[in-house]
Amino acid sequence: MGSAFLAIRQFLGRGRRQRTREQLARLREEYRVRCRSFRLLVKANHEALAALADLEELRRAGRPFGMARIRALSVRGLMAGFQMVRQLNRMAPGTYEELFTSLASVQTSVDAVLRRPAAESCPDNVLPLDRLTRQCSRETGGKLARLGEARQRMGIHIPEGFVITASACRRFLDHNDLPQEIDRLLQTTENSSMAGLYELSSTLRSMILRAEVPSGLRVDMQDQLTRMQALSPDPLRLAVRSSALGEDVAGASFAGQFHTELNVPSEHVEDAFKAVVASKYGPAALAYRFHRGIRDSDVDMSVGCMEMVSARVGGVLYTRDPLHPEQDCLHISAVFGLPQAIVDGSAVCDRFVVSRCGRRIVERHVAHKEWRTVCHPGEGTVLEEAVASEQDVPCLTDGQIVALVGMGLRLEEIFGAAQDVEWIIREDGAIALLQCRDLHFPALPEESDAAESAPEELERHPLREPLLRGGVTASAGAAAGVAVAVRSDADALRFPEQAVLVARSARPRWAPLLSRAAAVITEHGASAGHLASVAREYGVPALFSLPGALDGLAEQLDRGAVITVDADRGAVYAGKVEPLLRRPPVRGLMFGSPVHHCLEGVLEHLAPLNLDNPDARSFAPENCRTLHDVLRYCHEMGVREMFCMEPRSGLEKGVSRRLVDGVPLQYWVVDLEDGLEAPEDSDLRTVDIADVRCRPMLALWEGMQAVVWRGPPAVNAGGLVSVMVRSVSDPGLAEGAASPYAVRNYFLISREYCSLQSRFGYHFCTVEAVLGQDPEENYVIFQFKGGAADWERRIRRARLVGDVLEDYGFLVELKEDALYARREGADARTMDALLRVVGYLVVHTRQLDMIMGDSAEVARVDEQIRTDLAEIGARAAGIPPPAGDGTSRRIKGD
Amino acid sequence: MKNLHMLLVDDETEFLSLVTRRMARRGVEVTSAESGEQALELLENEEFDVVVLDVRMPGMDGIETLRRIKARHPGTEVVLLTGHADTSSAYTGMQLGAFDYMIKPVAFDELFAKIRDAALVSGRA
Repeated sequence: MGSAFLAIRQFLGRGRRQRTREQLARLREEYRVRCRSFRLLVKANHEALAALADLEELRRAGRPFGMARIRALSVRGLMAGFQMVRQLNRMAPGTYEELFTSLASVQTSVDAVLRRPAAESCPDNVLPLDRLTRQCSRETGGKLARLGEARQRMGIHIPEGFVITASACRRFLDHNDLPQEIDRLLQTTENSSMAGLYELSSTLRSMILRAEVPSGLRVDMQDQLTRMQALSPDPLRLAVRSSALGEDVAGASFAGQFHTELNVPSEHVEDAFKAVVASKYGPAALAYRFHRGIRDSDVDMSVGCMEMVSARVGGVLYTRDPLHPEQDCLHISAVFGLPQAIVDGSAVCDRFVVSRCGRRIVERHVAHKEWRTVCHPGEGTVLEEAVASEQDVPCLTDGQIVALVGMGLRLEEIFGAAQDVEWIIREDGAIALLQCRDLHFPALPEESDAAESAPEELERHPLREPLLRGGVTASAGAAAGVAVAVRSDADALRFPEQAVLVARSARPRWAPLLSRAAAVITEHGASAGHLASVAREYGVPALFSLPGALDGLAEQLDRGAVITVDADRGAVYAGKVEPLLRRPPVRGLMFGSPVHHCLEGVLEHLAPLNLDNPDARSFAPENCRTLHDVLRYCHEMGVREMFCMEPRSGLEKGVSRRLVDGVPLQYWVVDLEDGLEAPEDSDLRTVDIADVRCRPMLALWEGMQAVVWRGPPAVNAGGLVSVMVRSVSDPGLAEGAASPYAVRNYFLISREYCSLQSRFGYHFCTVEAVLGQDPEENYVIFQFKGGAADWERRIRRARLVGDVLEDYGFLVELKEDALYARREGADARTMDALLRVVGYLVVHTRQLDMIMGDSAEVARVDEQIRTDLAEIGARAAGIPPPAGDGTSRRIKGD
Repeated sequence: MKNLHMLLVDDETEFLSLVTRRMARRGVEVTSAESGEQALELLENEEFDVVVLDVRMPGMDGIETLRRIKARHPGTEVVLLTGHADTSSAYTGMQLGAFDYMIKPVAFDELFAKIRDAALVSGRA
């Protein structure tokens, strides 16, 4: 039982003469606290339900979201739940303590889902490359582990080197106290714009670049470098590469997101190591994880430091065609020098297609290779002009091609899947393996009629001449959009949704844009590059190596004109060419992702509602298994504590006074403070409406009196039967029973506060409002529940009233036959008008439920309510009501 | 309603000055502290309607600061604010008597509404 009621009891127990002003003040104070707790409870209920709804929406919509969002919403919902439990316990101290236990156990379950699993730690900071096997992949990432395994099982040349383990990389971050700071920044910037993404990335990376390498790791790295230097007559140069754990997440390619530094002198390896670790937070990597639903904690970095081998020829081998995996072919892209330019998407390269069975070279495309990438004598790599005699000759001999194919097929056999292999041919002619991983295939586009009918349609409506023709299909499909040139990061920041990206090279740098691009066109770049992989993964049509694209489309780029890219047939058209456009590929990349999975785990503990029947015995704190159960229980009990637990008979006799407006009315007034003109006089049993100076009550009363209530509406036979059925089935309605329904109508008032509790038969309604000069303080809450008619009719009435209130800017919550409407923060004038509306509804919706069976009648009532309210509003504003509307109703006053 | 006086405790000076400026426009007087220790010192000499406290700060963290505030000034309402949403620390904070737990980035209007509610409970609004 509520503390206010205890106070009332005590208060009444002493008899009228003993009551002191002090006690009355205490009673008022307790009542105020109670109202305040109820209000906070209701607010928290809204907050919690909104958080749940947002989480459900994330689950449904399939738009990208990150862990930070799930965490924030879970915390919001749980803490609002805590607030409800706390306020309910304030309303009725000691009654609902058990709810804290229920909520705590929900919190523990949610936390277990959200908590980052503690990674197993390996004591080794470094591991030599040639001793790795796939079992090491938890410390070295799959890519590097495979290199070691290929060396051991096939005797393939791999560069000399070592790996800095994932554990060592974590220790490096821990040593600098970075993980929590990184989480904090991810939390506060998630979901922001392109500019926000770049800024976040830059902040995170510079934090890591500034960090200090722990001395243990520094010593171990130095030992490895000394060992490697001892094997080589020349000063040691290294390639420092990422090998992320989690790169093997099913269907995720992570292509080209992470940093690689080539030709690094040993004294700079430490900086290169930091740069690679930092590249986990490059813009491409951040955007990729966000769009693929991969948690930050799913990706751990390890770093490979390998001897830099100078290459005569380098390239990439796919053991299948990623665009046509069913075809029996291997694809080789190759250039003179290092293969860097192929993966970076900037090179023009030779391409060879070899049949898998028979290993015949079925296609040969020899390109004009003007440039090649070589090691700079100082540090890093440079492009230099190729020897003139080599520019137009194939960079691989047939023998080398066959040897590469043999290696590719063996790797495929060992690793059990089609492979994406980066290789070089050393100056001494030997093949060395630099990297290999599973080849990713784009998700098959859904069969669409448009796609199938395209050829026919094209025959019937021959296409206009394309603007450009040629190029290499890097990712299949066709799409249209505004042409936008991207030359710099500044252009990237401005890149609009669903535009066609036109760039000089297929640089991995543009990968973050692919989640918004309709299609991609580049002048350089091969389908073996990173950007191509990402385009395929996202299902964005991409046409690469289309010479002169920027110049050829200059006019469209200038005007921001729409173009259509047909990546399959290698053509670009002006405008939108409908017959070519397939349905956009399905990009539901979130479904099944680790983040989505986590969301489902969280929702399991938050969303299901087990307590659905408040009258059931099982409606109890110990049965609150989810957050939703706790909310439901608190809301129900809060309402009961506030309004239903105890008839106010004591209060009525003690401090209430009957309202008189010419005649005594069925309303009683309790002056909490300063609500009446005449100072309280113990003998007065009545109060005249003229003495009321509570602003919200006066406005409410105006509305209640504005249109004379014509009594219960004429009920059709069904409505009446429905009322009779309810009366019989509800003992609370029996004649003379001590039931809550017998309680009379009360105004509890102060100068700026008013609460009306009104019951009319079965109909139970409350209004609470503050109306003062400060809009921030003002609010009005209107709620009702119940009614006499059957369930359907009561629900229909709640909906009707809810619609009306929404038109007046209320936030309306409907639950079955209950309506809860709230509006806050309006100025005094608006509040005045709103309270009139509410006052009108308090009186005129009393028995509406009985006639709500008939849809014509519903429409008529709706019409009438709106007409009345318009008149009331006009009257308040001093505008005369429209004359002669043919009804017999009269507006009181004037 | 009288002007609110709020104590804002956060080690991010940029955030401090932003919130101080915006609150001032709504008639809220803000005193700022850059650490838990400093906040406790200020509370010894001055009354505040509400304290807004960052959870993660160097030195004494927000949860410990909250614990001490509640031990010494039980009537003072504290709103926790954090960049790292963590259900355990949130729950602990609420159990220690925090009025609420908000997550950065927080919409200014939401923060404003929350401190008003908190001030209302502390009975000082």
